[in-house]
Amino acid sequence: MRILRAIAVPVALLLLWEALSRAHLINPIILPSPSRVLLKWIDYAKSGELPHDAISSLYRVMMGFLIGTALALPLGLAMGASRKVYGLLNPVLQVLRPIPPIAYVPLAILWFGLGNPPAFFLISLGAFFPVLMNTVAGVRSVDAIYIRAARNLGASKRALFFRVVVPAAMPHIMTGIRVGFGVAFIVVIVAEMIAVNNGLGYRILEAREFFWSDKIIAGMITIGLLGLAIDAMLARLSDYLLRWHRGLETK
Amino acid sequence: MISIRGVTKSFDDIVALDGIDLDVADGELVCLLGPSGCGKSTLLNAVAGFVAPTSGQILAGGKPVTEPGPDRGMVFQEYALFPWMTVRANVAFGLEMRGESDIRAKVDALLAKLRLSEFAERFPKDLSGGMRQRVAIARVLALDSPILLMDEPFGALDALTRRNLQDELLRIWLELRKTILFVTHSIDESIYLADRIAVMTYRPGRVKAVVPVAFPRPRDVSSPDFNAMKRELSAMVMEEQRRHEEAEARATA
Repeated sequence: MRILRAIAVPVALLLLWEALSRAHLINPIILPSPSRVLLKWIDYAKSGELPHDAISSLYRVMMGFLIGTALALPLGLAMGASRKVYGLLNPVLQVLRPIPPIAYVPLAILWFGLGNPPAFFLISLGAFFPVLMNTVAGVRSVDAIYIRAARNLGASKRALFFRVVVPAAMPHIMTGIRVGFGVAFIVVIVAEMIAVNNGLGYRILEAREFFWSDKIIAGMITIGLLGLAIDAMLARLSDYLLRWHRGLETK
Repeated sequence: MISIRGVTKSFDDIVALDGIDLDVADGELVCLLGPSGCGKSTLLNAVAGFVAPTSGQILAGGKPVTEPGPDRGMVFQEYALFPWMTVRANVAFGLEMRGESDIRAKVDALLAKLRLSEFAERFPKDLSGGMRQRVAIARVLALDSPILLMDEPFGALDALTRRNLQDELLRIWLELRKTILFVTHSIDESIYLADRIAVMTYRPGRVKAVVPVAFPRPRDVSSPDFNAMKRELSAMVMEEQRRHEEAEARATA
Protein backbone atom coordinates (compact mmCIF):
# COMPACT_ATOMS: atom_id res chain seq x y z
CA MET A 1 0.00 0.00 0.00
CA ARG A 2 2.74 2.40 0.98
CA ILE A 3 4.76 1.47 -2.10
CA LEU A 4 1.73 2.09 -4.29
CA ARG A 5 1.29 5.52 -2.76
CA ALA A 6 4.97 6.32 -3.25
CA ILE A 7 5.02 5.48 -6.97
CA ALA A 8 1.55 6.73 -7.89
CA VAL A 9 2.54 10.32 -8.67
CA PRO A 10 5.74 9.54 -10.63
CA VAL A 11 3.93 6.90 -12.68
CA ALA A 12 1.05 9.24 -13.43
CA LEU A 13 3.44 12.01 -14.48
CA LEU A 14 5.38 9.65 -16.74
CA LEU A 15 2.18 8.40 -18.37
CA LEU A 16 0.96 11.95 -18.93
CA TRP A 17 4.30 12.96 -20.38
CA GLU A 18 4.35 9.89 -22.67
CA ALA A 19 0.78 10.55 -23.82
CA LEU A 20 1.45 14.22 -24.57
CA SER A 21 4.53 13.28 -26.57
CA ARG A 22 2.75 10.61 -28.56
CA ALA A 23 -0.06 13.01 -29.36
CA HIS A 24 2.63 15.36 -30.76
CA LEU A 25 1.62 18.02 -28.30
CA ILE A 26 5.25 18.48 -27.23
CA ASN A 27 8.10 19.05 -29.62
CA PRO A 28 10.46 16.04 -29.08
CA ILE A 29 13.47 18.35 -29.30
CA ILE A 30 12.19 20.40 -26.40
CA LEU A 31 11.10 17.35 -24.42
CA PRO A 32 11.40 13.81 -25.79
CA SER A 33 9.06 11.12 -24.51
CA PRO A 34 10.12 8.96 -21.56
CA SER A 35 10.27 5.88 -23.72
CA ARG A 36 12.71 7.60 -26.07
CA VAL A 37 14.84 8.70 -23.14
CA LEU A 38 14.87 5.14 -21.84
CA LEU A 39 15.86 3.72 -25.23
CA LYS A 40 18.59 6.31 -25.55
CA TRP A 41 19.79 5.52 -22.06
CA ILE A 42 20.08 1.83 -22.99
CA ASP A 43 21.99 2.73 -26.20
CA TYR A 44 24.24 5.05 -24.27
CA ALA A 45 24.96 2.34 -21.71
CA LYS A 46 25.43 -0.46 -24.25
CA SER A 47 27.88 1.51 -26.38
CA GLY A 48 30.17 1.68 -23.36
CA GLU A 49 30.08 5.45 -23.45
CA LEU A 50 27.96 5.82 -20.32
CA PRO A 51 30.06 3.56 -18.08
CA HIS A 52 33.17 5.34 -19.30
CA ASP A 53 31.67 8.78 -18.61
CA ALA A 54 30.37 7.71 -15.21
CA ILE A 55 33.74 6.30 -14.20
CA SER A 56 35.53 9.44 -15.41
CA SER A 57 33.19 11.64 -13.39
CA LEU A 58 33.45 9.45 -10.31
CA TYR A 59 37.22 9.42 -10.57
CA ARG A 60 37.28 13.23 -10.64
CA VAL A 61 34.88 13.53 -7.74
CA MET A 62 36.88 11.07 -5.66
CA MET A 63 40.22 12.72 -6.38
CA GLY A 64 38.93 16.24 -5.81
CA PHE A 65 37.06 15.20 -2.70
CA LEU A 66 40.07 13.37 -1.27
CA ILE A 67 42.40 16.30 -1.92
CA GLY A 68 39.94 18.78 -0.40
CA THR A 69 39.27 16.61 2.63
CA ALA A 70 42.94 15.77 3.14
CA LEU A 71 43.63 19.50 3.41
CA ALA A 72 40.51 20.46 5.35
CA LEU A 73 40.63 17.79 8.06
CA PRO A 74 44.06 18.51 9.60
CA LEU A 75 43.53 22.24 9.18
CA GLY A 76 40.09 22.07 10.80
CA LEU A 77 41.38 19.96 13.68
CA ALA A 78 44.24 22.40 14.27
CA MET A 79 41.93 25.42 14.06
CA GLY A 80 39.42 23.84 16.40
CA ALA A 81 42.02 22.84 18.95
CA SER A 82 44.19 25.96 18.98
CA ARG A 83 42.99 29.51 19.44
CA LYS A 84 46.25 30.75 17.95
CA VAL A 85 45.88 28.80 14.73
CA TYR A 86 42.22 29.80 14.56
CA GLY A 87 43.01 33.48 15.03
CA LEU A 88 45.70 33.27 12.39
CA LEU A 89 43.73 31.51 9.65
CA ASN A 90 40.09 32.28 10.26
CA PRO A 91 40.05 35.81 8.74
CA VAL A 92 41.53 34.62 5.44
CA LEU A 93 39.23 31.62 5.25
CA GLN A 94 36.15 33.67 6.02
CA VAL A 95 36.98 35.97 3.11
CA LEU A 96 37.60 33.07 0.72
CA ARG A 97 34.68 30.91 1.84
CA PRO A 98 31.80 32.82 0.20
CA ILE A 99 33.47 32.72 -3.23
CA PRO A 100 31.69 29.89 -5.08
CA PRO A 101 34.08 27.32 -6.58
CA ILE A 102 32.59 28.08 -9.99
CA ALA A 103 33.98 31.62 -9.78
CA TYR A 104 37.44 30.04 -9.79
CA VAL A 105 36.89 28.53 -13.25
CA PRO A 106 38.87 31.16 -15.20
CA LEU A 107 41.73 31.05 -12.72
CA ALA A 108 41.65 27.24 -12.66
CA ILE A 109 42.13 27.14 -16.42
CA LEU A 110 44.83 29.79 -16.29
CA TRP A 111 46.72 27.94 -13.58
CA PHE A 112 46.15 24.33 -14.54
CA GLY A 113 45.31 24.41 -18.25
CA LEU A 114 42.78 21.84 -19.47
CA GLY A 115 42.12 18.23 -18.49
CA ASN A 116 41.85 16.78 -15.03
CA PRO A 117 44.04 19.17 -13.00
CA PRO A 118 41.67 22.17 -13.09
CA ALA A 119 38.74 19.81 -12.39
CA PHE A 120 40.52 18.39 -9.34
CA PHE A 121 41.27 21.90 -8.18
CA LEU A 122 37.67 23.10 -8.48
CA ILE A 123 36.18 19.96 -6.92
CA SER A 124 38.60 19.97 -4.01
CA LEU A 125 37.75 23.61 -3.40
CA GLY A 126 34.07 22.66 -3.28
CA ALA A 127 34.67 19.88 -0.74
CA PHE A 128 37.19 21.86 1.30
CA PHE A 129 35.04 24.45 3.07
CA PRO A 130 32.16 22.26 4.28
CA VAL A 131 34.61 19.74 5.74
CA LEU A 132 36.73 22.50 7.27
CA MET A 133 33.93 24.49 8.86
CA ASN A 134 32.23 21.42 10.32
CA THR A 135 35.48 20.04 11.67
CA VAL A 136 36.28 23.33 13.41
CA ALA A 137 32.77 23.45 14.88
CA GLY A 138 33.01 19.79 15.92
CA VAL A 139 36.29 20.22 17.79
CA ARG A 140 35.12 23.41 19.45
CA SER A 141 31.91 21.83 20.70
CA VAL A 142 33.53 18.84 22.42
CA ASP A 143 31.99 18.63 25.88
CA ALA A 144 34.51 19.75 28.52
CA ILE A 145 33.55 16.83 30.76
CA TYR A 146 35.20 14.37 28.34
CA ILE A 147 38.41 16.38 28.49
CA ARG A 148 38.29 16.40 32.29
CA ALA A 149 37.59 12.70 32.47
CA ALA A 150 40.45 11.91 30.10
CA ARG A 151 42.92 14.09 32.01
CA ASN A 152 41.80 12.50 35.24
CA LEU A 153 42.48 9.10 33.70
CA GLY A 154 46.03 10.17 32.89
CA ALA A 155 45.72 10.90 29.16
CA SER A 156 48.68 12.59 27.48
CA LYS A 157 48.00 15.56 25.19
CA ARG A 158 48.34 13.29 22.20
CA ALA A 159 45.93 10.69 23.53
CA LEU A 160 43.55 13.45 24.57
CA PHE A 161 43.49 14.71 21.01
CA PHE A 162 43.31 11.50 19.03
CA ARG A 163 41.27 9.34 21.39
CA VAL A 164 38.91 11.94 22.82
CA VAL A 165 38.69 15.16 20.80
CA VAL A 166 38.66 13.59 17.34
CA PRO A 167 36.04 10.91 18.06
CA ALA A 168 33.91 13.38 20.01
CA ALA A 169 33.98 15.71 16.99
CA MET A 170 33.16 12.86 14.59
CA PRO A 171 29.40 13.55 14.25
CA HIS A 172 30.16 17.07 13.01
CA ILE A 173 33.00 15.85 10.80
CA MET A 174 30.73 13.29 9.13
CA THR A 175 28.17 15.99 8.43
CA GLY A 176 30.91 18.05 6.81
CA ILE A 177 31.98 15.08 4.71
CA ARG A 178 28.46 14.46 3.42
CA VAL A 179 27.88 18.11 2.59
CA GLY A 180 31.37 18.34 1.06
CA PHE A 181 30.69 15.35 -1.14
CA GLY A 182 27.44 16.89 -2.29
CA VAL A 183 29.19 20.09 -3.30
CA ALA A 184 31.99 18.13 -4.99
CA PHE A 185 29.38 16.34 -7.06
CA ILE A 186 27.86 19.62 -8.23
CA VAL A 187 31.25 21.07 -9.08
CA VAL A 188 32.38 18.04 -11.09
CA ILE A 189 29.55 18.55 -13.56
CA VAL A 190 30.44 22.21 -14.02
CA ALA A 191 34.15 21.43 -14.32
CA GLU A 192 33.45 18.83 -17.00
CA MET A 193 31.44 21.32 -19.00
CA ILE A 194 34.52 23.51 -19.21
CA ALA A 195 37.82 21.76 -18.96
CA VAL A 196 37.60 18.17 -20.24
CA ASN A 197 36.14 16.08 -23.06
CA ASN A 198 34.53 13.18 -21.28
CA GLY A 199 32.45 12.59 -18.17
CA LEU A 200 28.74 13.08 -17.60
CA GLY A 201 28.92 16.88 -17.45
CA TYR A 202 30.78 17.04 -20.74
CA ARG A 203 28.39 14.55 -22.36
CA ILE A 204 25.19 16.43 -21.65
CA LEU A 205 26.72 19.64 -22.93
CA GLU A 206 27.93 17.85 -26.03
CA ALA A 207 24.45 16.36 -26.59
CA ARG A 208 23.02 19.87 -26.56
CA GLU A 209 25.21 20.80 -29.55
CA PHE A 210 23.32 18.17 -31.56
CA PHE A 211 19.89 18.85 -30.02
CA TRP A 212 19.92 15.31 -28.55
CA SER A 213 17.61 16.15 -25.74
CA ASP A 214 16.92 12.46 -25.05
CA LYS A 215 20.62 11.99 -24.36
CA ILE A 216 20.75 15.11 -22.19
CA ILE A 217 17.99 13.72 -20.02
CA ALA A 218 19.54 10.24 -19.96
CA GLY A 219 22.78 11.85 -18.74
CA MET A 220 20.95 13.90 -16.13
CA ILE A 221 19.20 10.83 -14.78
CA THR A 222 22.54 9.03 -14.55
CA ILE A 223 23.96 11.96 -12.58
CA GLY A 224 21.00 11.86 -10.22
CA LEU A 225 21.24 8.11 -9.66
CA LEU A 226 24.97 8.27 -9.00
CA GLY A 227 24.53 11.11 -6.51
CA LEU A 228 21.80 9.18 -4.74
CA ALA A 229 23.92 6.03 -4.58
CA ILE A 230 26.94 7.89 -3.20
CA ASP A 231 24.91 9.69 -0.58
CA ALA A 232 23.31 6.42 0.50
CA MET A 233 26.76 4.88 0.86
CA LEU A 234 27.99 7.82 2.90
CA ALA A 235 24.89 7.58 5.08
CA ARG A 236 25.65 3.91 5.74
CA LEU A 237 29.27 4.71 6.54
CA SER A 238 28.20 7.50 8.86
CA ASP A 239 25.69 5.25 10.62
CA TYR A 240 28.42 2.70 11.18
CA LEU A 241 31.05 5.15 12.40
CA LEU A 242 28.54 6.90 14.66
CA ARG A 243 26.82 3.75 15.90
CA TRP A 244 27.70 4.88 19.42
CA HIS A 245 25.96 8.20 18.99
CA ARG A 246 22.55 8.70 20.52
CA GLY A 247 21.43 10.93 17.68
CA LEU A 248 20.01 14.14 19.01
CA GLU A 249 21.96 14.03 22.29
CA THR A 250 18.74 13.61 24.23
CA LYS A 251 19.01 12.16 27.68
CA MET B 1 44.94 10.75 52.67
CA ILE B 2 43.69 14.16 51.61
CA SER B 3 44.62 17.38 53.44
CA ILE B 4 42.83 20.55 52.52
CA ARG B 5 44.51 23.51 54.19
CA GLY B 6 43.12 27.01 54.17
CA VAL B 7 41.76 26.67 50.65
CA THR B 8 40.09 29.76 49.22
CA LYS B 9 38.75 30.08 45.71
CA SER B 10 37.20 33.19 44.18
CA PHE B 11 35.70 33.61 40.74
CA ASP B 12 35.63 37.34 39.95
CA ASP B 13 33.66 38.82 42.86
CA ILE B 14 32.19 35.52 44.12
CA VAL B 15 34.00 33.78 46.95
CA ALA B 16 33.19 30.14 46.25
CA LEU B 17 35.42 28.68 48.94
CA ASP B 18 36.60 30.54 52.01
CA GLY B 19 39.36 29.08 54.15
CA ILE B 20 38.43 25.41 53.94
CA ASP B 21 40.29 23.08 56.30
CA LEU B 22 39.46 19.40 56.05
CA ASP B 23 41.38 16.14 56.37
CA VAL B 24 40.24 12.81 55.01
CA ALA B 25 42.15 9.94 56.58
CA ASP B 26 43.35 6.90 54.66
CA GLY B 27 40.45 4.57 54.05
CA GLU B 28 37.91 7.08 55.28
CA LEU B 29 34.69 7.99 53.48
CA VAL B 30 33.79 11.65 53.93
CA CYS B 31 30.72 13.29 52.41
CA LEU B 32 30.58 16.97 51.47
CA LEU B 33 26.98 17.99 52.05
CA GLY B 34 25.30 21.27 51.16
CA PRO B 35 22.83 23.01 48.88
CA SER B 36 23.62 24.00 45.28
CA GLY B 37 26.11 26.81 45.09
CA CYS B 38 27.86 26.00 48.37
CA GLY B 39 31.09 25.24 46.54
CA LYS B 40 31.21 21.52 47.27
CA SER B 41 31.82 20.63 43.65
CA THR B 42 34.38 23.40 43.36
CA LEU B 43 36.21 21.94 46.34
CA LEU B 44 36.14 18.47 44.77
CA ASN B 45 37.40 19.89 41.47
CA ALA B 46 40.23 21.58 43.37
CA VAL B 47 41.20 18.25 44.95
CA ALA B 48 41.00 16.64 41.50
CA GLY B 49 43.33 19.35 40.16
CA PHE B 50 40.89 20.82 37.65
CA VAL B 51 40.80 24.22 39.36
CA ALA B 52 43.66 25.83 41.25
CA PRO B 53 42.81 27.37 44.63
CA THR B 54 43.27 31.13 44.90
CA SER B 55 45.13 30.48 48.12
CA GLY B 56 45.78 27.59 50.44
CA GLN B 57 47.03 24.12 49.66
CA ILE B 58 45.75 20.63 48.99
CA LEU B 59 47.83 17.54 49.65
CA ALA B 60 46.91 14.14 48.28
CA GLY B 61 48.96 11.26 49.63
CA GLY B 62 51.36 13.85 51.05
CA LYS B 63 52.02 15.53 47.68
CA PRO B 64 50.68 18.96 46.72
CA VAL B 65 47.98 18.82 44.05
CA THR B 66 48.96 20.82 40.97
CA GLU B 67 47.20 19.04 38.12
CA PRO B 68 44.70 16.25 37.46
CA GLY B 69 46.09 12.77 37.79
CA PRO B 70 45.13 9.13 38.01
CA ASP B 71 46.13 8.98 41.69
CA ARG B 72 42.79 10.71 42.34
CA GLY B 73 40.17 8.92 40.24
CA MET B 74 37.01 10.91 39.72
CA VAL B 75 33.45 9.74 39.14
CA PHE B 76 31.44 12.53 37.56
CA GLN B 77 27.75 13.37 37.85
CA GLU B 78 26.67 11.76 34.61
CA TYR B 79 27.49 11.39 30.95
CA ALA B 80 31.22 11.50 31.44
CA LEU B 81 31.75 8.06 29.94
CA PHE B 82 33.22 8.26 26.46
CA PRO B 83 30.14 7.50 24.36
CA TRP B 84 32.22 6.41 21.34
CA MET B 85 33.89 3.65 23.34
CA THR B 86 32.34 0.38 24.44
CA VAL B 87 32.10 -0.39 28.13
CA ARG B 88 35.26 -2.42 27.85
CA ALA B 89 37.17 0.35 26.07
CA ASN B 90 36.04 2.91 28.65
CA VAL B 91 37.32 0.77 31.51
CA ALA B 92 40.55 -0.01 29.64
CA PHE B 93 41.31 3.64 28.86
CA GLY B 94 43.17 4.51 32.06
CA LEU B 95 45.20 1.31 31.89
CA GLU B 96 46.17 2.04 28.29
CA MET B 97 47.23 5.55 29.25
CA ARG B 98 49.60 4.03 31.77
CA GLY B 99 50.91 1.57 29.20
CA GLU B 100 49.98 -1.42 31.34
CA SER B 101 50.21 -4.98 30.14
CA ASP B 102 47.54 -7.64 30.38
CA ILE B 103 44.82 -5.02 30.11
CA ARG B 104 42.17 -7.42 28.90
CA ALA B 105 42.40 -9.66 31.93
CA LYS B 106 42.36 -6.70 34.32
CA VAL B 107 39.33 -5.21 32.62
CA ASP B 108 37.53 -8.55 32.66
CA ALA B 109 38.12 -8.84 36.39
CA LEU B 110 36.77 -5.35 37.03
CA LEU B 111 33.72 -5.91 34.85
CA ALA B 112 33.01 -9.09 36.78
CA LYS B 113 33.40 -7.26 40.09
CA LEU B 114 30.78 -4.71 39.06
CA ARG B 115 28.58 -7.33 37.40
CA LEU B 116 29.04 -5.74 33.98
CA SER B 117 30.60 -8.67 32.11
CA GLU B 118 27.68 -9.26 29.78
CA PHE B 119 27.57 -5.56 28.81
CA ALA B 120 31.27 -5.33 27.90
CA GLU B 121 30.74 -4.71 24.20
CA ARG B 122 27.85 -2.27 24.53
CA PHE B 123 28.03 1.46 24.05
CA PRO B 124 27.00 3.78 26.91
CA LYS B 125 23.89 4.93 25.04
CA ASP B 126 22.53 1.40 25.32
CA LEU B 127 22.87 1.29 29.13
CA SER B 128 20.58 2.53 31.87
CA GLY B 129 21.72 5.40 34.08
CA GLY B 130 22.61 3.02 36.90
CA MET B 131 24.68 0.84 34.57
CA ARG B 132 26.53 3.83 33.25
CA GLN B 133 27.56 4.89 36.72
CA ARG B 134 28.71 1.36 37.46
CA VAL B 135 30.93 1.60 34.37
CA ALA B 136 32.16 4.99 35.56
CA ILE B 137 33.13 3.40 38.87
CA ALA B 138 34.83 0.51 37.12
CA ARG B 139 36.72 3.01 34.98
CA VAL B 140 38.27 4.76 37.99
CA LEU B 141 38.84 1.51 39.90
CA ALA B 142 40.96 0.42 36.96
CA LEU B 143 43.39 3.17 37.88
CA ASP B 144 43.85 1.53 41.26
CA SER B 145 44.17 4.97 42.78
CA PRO B 146 44.12 5.23 46.58
CA ILE B 147 41.75 8.19 46.42
CA LEU B 148 38.31 8.31 44.81
CA LEU B 149 36.52 11.61 44.23
CA MET B 150 32.80 11.37 43.58
CA ASP B 151 30.75 14.32 42.36
CA GLU B 152 27.07 13.49 43.02
CA PRO B 153 27.53 10.28 41.06
CA PHE B 154 24.08 8.92 41.89
CA GLY B 155 22.19 12.23 41.74
CA ALA B 156 20.32 11.47 38.53
CA LEU B 157 19.26 7.94 39.44
CA ASP B 158 15.90 6.75 40.71
CA ALA B 159 15.67 5.90 44.41
CA LEU B 160 15.96 2.11 44.08
CA THR B 161 18.87 2.15 41.65
CA ARG B 162 20.50 4.71 43.84
CA ARG B 163 20.32 2.55 46.98
CA ASN B 164 21.65 -0.35 44.97
CA LEU B 165 24.68 1.59 43.82
CA GLN B 166 25.30 3.00 47.29
CA ASP B 167 25.49 -0.57 48.59
CA GLU B 168 27.77 -1.49 45.73
CA LEU B 169 30.04 1.43 46.53
CA LEU B 170 30.20 0.49 50.22
CA ARG B 171 31.03 -3.09 49.29
CA ILE B 172 33.88 -1.95 47.04
CA TRP B 173 35.09 0.58 49.58
CA LEU B 174 35.24 -2.02 52.36
CA GLU B 175 37.00 -4.47 50.10
CA LEU B 176 39.57 -2.09 48.59
CA ARG B 177 39.87 0.41 51.44
CA LYS B 178 39.86 3.50 49.29
CA THR B 179 39.90 7.04 50.62
CA ILE B 180 36.69 8.61 49.34
CA LEU B 181 35.53 12.20 49.16
CA PHE B 182 31.89 12.12 48.10
CA VAL B 183 29.86 15.20 47.16
CA THR B 184 26.09 15.05 47.61
CA HIS B 185 23.13 17.26 48.39
CA SER B 186 21.15 14.32 49.75
CA ILE B 187 21.10 14.14 53.55
CA ASP B 188 20.00 10.50 53.44
CA GLU B 189 22.81 9.56 51.12
CA SER B 190 25.43 11.23 53.29
CA ILE B 191 24.25 9.48 56.47
CA TYR B 192 23.96 6.16 54.67
CA LEU B 193 27.51 6.30 53.32
CA ALA B 194 29.81 8.49 55.34
CA ASP B 195 32.18 8.06 58.24
CA ARG B 196 32.02 11.81 58.66
CA ILE B 197 29.89 14.47 57.00
CA ALA B 198 31.25 17.93 56.28
CA VAL B 199 28.31 20.34 56.01
CA MET B 200 29.09 23.39 53.89
CA THR B 201 27.65 26.88 53.99
CA TYR B 202 26.20 28.78 51.06
CA ARG B 203 28.44 31.56 49.73
CA PRO B 204 31.05 31.96 50.87
CA GLY B 205 31.58 28.19 51.04
CA ARG B 206 32.90 27.27 54.46
CA VAL B 207 32.83 24.11 56.52
CA LYS B 208 29.92 24.73 58.85
CA ALA B 209 30.33 21.54 60.84
CA VAL B 210 31.93 18.12 60.59
CA VAL B 211 29.58 15.47 61.92
CA PRO B 212 30.78 11.92 62.57
CA VAL B 213 28.30 9.16 61.79
CA ALA B 214 28.95 6.76 64.62
CA PHE B 215 26.50 3.91 64.10
CA PRO B 216 27.54 0.74 62.28
CA ARG B 217 26.85 -0.31 58.70
CA PRO B 218 24.67 -1.47 57.08
CA ARG B 219 22.66 1.46 58.30
CA ASP B 220 18.94 1.18 58.67
CA VAL B 221 17.42 4.31 57.13
CA SER B 222 14.31 3.95 59.34
CA SER B 223 16.16 3.55 62.64
CA PRO B 224 15.82 6.20 65.40
CA ASP B 225 19.57 6.93 65.20
CA PHE B 226 19.32 7.59 61.50
CA ASN B 227 16.30 9.84 61.91
CA ALA B 228 17.82 11.78 64.78
CA MET B 229 20.86 12.52 62.70
CA LYS B 230 18.69 13.40 59.74
CA ARG B 231 16.84 15.99 61.85
CA GLU B 232 20.11 17.47 63.05
CA LEU B 233 21.58 17.70 59.55
CA SER B 234 18.35 18.93 58.00
CA ALA B 235 18.30 21.90 60.30
CA MET B 236 21.83 22.83 59.27
CA VAL B 237 21.38 22.23 55.54
CA MET B 238 17.98 23.93 55.35
CA GLU B 239 19.39 27.06 56.91
CA GLU B 240 21.91 27.21 54.05
CA GLN B 241 19.25 26.30 51.52
CA ARG B 242 17.19 29.29 52.73
CA ARG B 243 20.17 31.57 52.25
CA HIS B 244 20.60 30.13 48.76
CA GLU B 245 16.95 30.79 47.92
CA GLU B 246 17.04 34.30 49.33
CA ALA B 247 20.12 35.06 47.27
CA GLU B 248 18.39 33.75 44.15
CA ALA B 249 15.29 35.82 44.88
CA ARG B 250 17.47 38.92 45.26
CA ALA B 251 19.26 38.13 42.02
CA THR B 252 16.05 37.81 40.03
CA ALA B 253 14.29 40.76 41.70
